[in-house]
Amino acid sequence: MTYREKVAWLMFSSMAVTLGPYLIYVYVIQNGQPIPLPGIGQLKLYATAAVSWAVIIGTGHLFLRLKFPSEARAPADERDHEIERRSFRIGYSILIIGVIVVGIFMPFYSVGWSIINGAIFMIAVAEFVRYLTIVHSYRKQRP
Amino acid sequence: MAGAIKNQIKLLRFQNGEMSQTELGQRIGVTRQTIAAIEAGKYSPTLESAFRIADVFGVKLDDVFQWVKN
Repeated sequence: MTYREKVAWLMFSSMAVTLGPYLIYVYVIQNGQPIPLPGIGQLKLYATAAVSWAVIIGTGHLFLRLKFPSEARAPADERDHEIERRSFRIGYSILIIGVIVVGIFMPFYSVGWSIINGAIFMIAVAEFVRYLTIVHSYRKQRP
Repeated sequence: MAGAIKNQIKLLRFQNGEMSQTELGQRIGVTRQTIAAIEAGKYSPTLESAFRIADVFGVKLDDVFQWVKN
C-alpha cells in the first residue's frame, strides 16, 4: 500500500467516524428540521465533530510520518498524480453540484442551519467520494 | 480497436539478476507499488517511463510492451 493510499484511508475513515455521525444526527434524529441562527447548540455539535476530525487527522498524519518516514518524504510519481487528478475531477464535479443546490436553490425554501448543514453535507459527500476514488484507484486501477 | 497492453517486465527483471521491483522503481523514478501495478497490467505507464524501463533492461520498447488485440 502506497503512503498516499494510507493517507486516503485515514481521511476517508476519519471523516466517516466524525462527520458521518453528525450528519446522521442532523438528518435522521433531528429529521432535517430548520434550526434558526445562531443555534448555539447546533454550532457546538458541529464544532465537536470538526475538532474531533482535525485531531484524528493530525494524530494520524503524525503516526504515518513517524512509522513510514521514507515513504512520507518520497515525491508523488506519475501514477499518484494520475489518481489525484481523477479523484479531484470527480470530487470537484460533486462539489459544484452541491454549490448550485445549496447556494442557489436552498435559500429559496430553507433557512439557518438547514443551509449550513446542506453545505456541510455536500462538502462531506464530495470529499468522501474523492477519497473513495483514490482508494479504489490504488486497489483496482486499470489502464 | 479492442486490445490490451501486455508486458514482459517480470521476465526481464528475472533475466537481469532478479532485479527487485523496488530497484527498478528507483531507477526510473516511481514507487515499487507502481511497478507492481504496471506488471499486473493495472496501470499503463507514460511513454517516458516505458522508454526508461526499456533503457534499464537495455532492450527495445516493444521487447517490454506489446499491444495484443482481443
